[in-house]
Amino acid sequence: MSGSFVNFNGTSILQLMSFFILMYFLIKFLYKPFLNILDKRSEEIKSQYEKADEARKEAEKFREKVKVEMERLSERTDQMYEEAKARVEAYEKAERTRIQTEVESIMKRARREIEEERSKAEESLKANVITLAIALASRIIQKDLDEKSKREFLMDQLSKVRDMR
Amino acid sequence: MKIPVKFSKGEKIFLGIFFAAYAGVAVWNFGKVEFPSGIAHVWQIKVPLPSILGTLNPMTIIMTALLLVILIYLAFDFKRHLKKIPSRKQSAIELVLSFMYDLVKDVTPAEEFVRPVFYIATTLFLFILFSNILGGIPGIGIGVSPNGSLKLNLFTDTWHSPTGDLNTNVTYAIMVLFISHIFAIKLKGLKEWAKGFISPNPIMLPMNIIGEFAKPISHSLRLFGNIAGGGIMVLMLSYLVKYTFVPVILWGFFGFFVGTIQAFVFSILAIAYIGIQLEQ
Repeated sequence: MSGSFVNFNGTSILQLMSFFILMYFLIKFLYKPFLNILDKRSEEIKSQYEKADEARKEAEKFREKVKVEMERLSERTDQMYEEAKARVEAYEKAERTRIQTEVESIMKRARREIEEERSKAEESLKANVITLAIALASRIIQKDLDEKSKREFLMDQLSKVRDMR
Repeated sequence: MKIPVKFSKGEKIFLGIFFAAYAGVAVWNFGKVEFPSGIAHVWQIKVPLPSILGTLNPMTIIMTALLLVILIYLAFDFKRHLKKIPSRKQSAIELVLSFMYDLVKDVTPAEEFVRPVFYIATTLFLFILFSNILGGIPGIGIGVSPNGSLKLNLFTDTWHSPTGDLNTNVTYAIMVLFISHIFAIKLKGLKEWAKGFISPNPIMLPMNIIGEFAKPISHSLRLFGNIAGGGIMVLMLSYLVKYTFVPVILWGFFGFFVGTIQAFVFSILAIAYIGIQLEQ
């Protein structure tokens, strides 16, 4: 049987039923999972943001801590530097004094030695000169004098020479 | 201007054979295409009296059942392959759904009705969209011969679409009307809802009632006219060009372009009608 294409009949009841059947299955398979996954995604993004915020806060705290630590460290370094400087200065001073005293003692000793050497040399020179002079004098004046008077005489001469000088 | 289109040898051979065969069939067919005498007639069956159904349009029911199977399969497939990081198919479906969801969210004033309205509007949209695309495939249809037996009509009919049947459209439009009022009563209470009919003045009562009745009529006839009229237009134009080249383009226009727009308009109007009723 065929009829006009503009009609309204019992098909409408079936269409209504089929609409609700379709809606039931689409809600079950399409809309609910879709909305759930949207919620899940937004939840996840939110939690990610929160986590990032937390991490940032923690980083801030950490930075603060590091800053304080750095300050403390730099203070300590300064202190250590000062200490080291003072120590070095003290050491330098001590060393200088030590070296000075050493040098002085060495100098003193050397001077004394020089003095000794000089006096020794003077003595020996004196003796030599005396001997030489005696020999010379005995050769020159050919005068026989006893040993003692010779020496006295020469000593006189020598004192004269020294006075003259 | 030269369009740089290059065909390989195999493609050239294929296209040559295809167009030659097409032209041959067209010329052979040219004299044989009859005027579509079965136009504007549909296959109907009568159900015996104990049932309340009366007369039925079997093609509408068959196509609706087919669409149900297709859509439910698509939905099932969507759920089965659901991932947090979407595949291409999933993101395409999600795009459509989130578009509809945003639309409903913008229009619906009550937060608790967003989801039900979204379910109804999106179901309407998907069903009507797929149905419209099926409608008006030119040159093929199922009808009945004068002696009452079923026959396949080649070149004298277009394929049947459930939305090309007034039953579907009127049912859905009336359903939207009822749903909008039920939601309004649920949200505002019976008294407030009834007050809506005599606002801003009791004189406006008949106007308001006529307005409410006009809604489903315009809502359903708009879709019906577009799809059924599009089908007839495809049929006539296809007859005039004797089914050479043009029908596919016509189907593309009326099926995909007009069909998508009408499906969108129908669901938008459903959302708007429900949204207006939910307005405080």
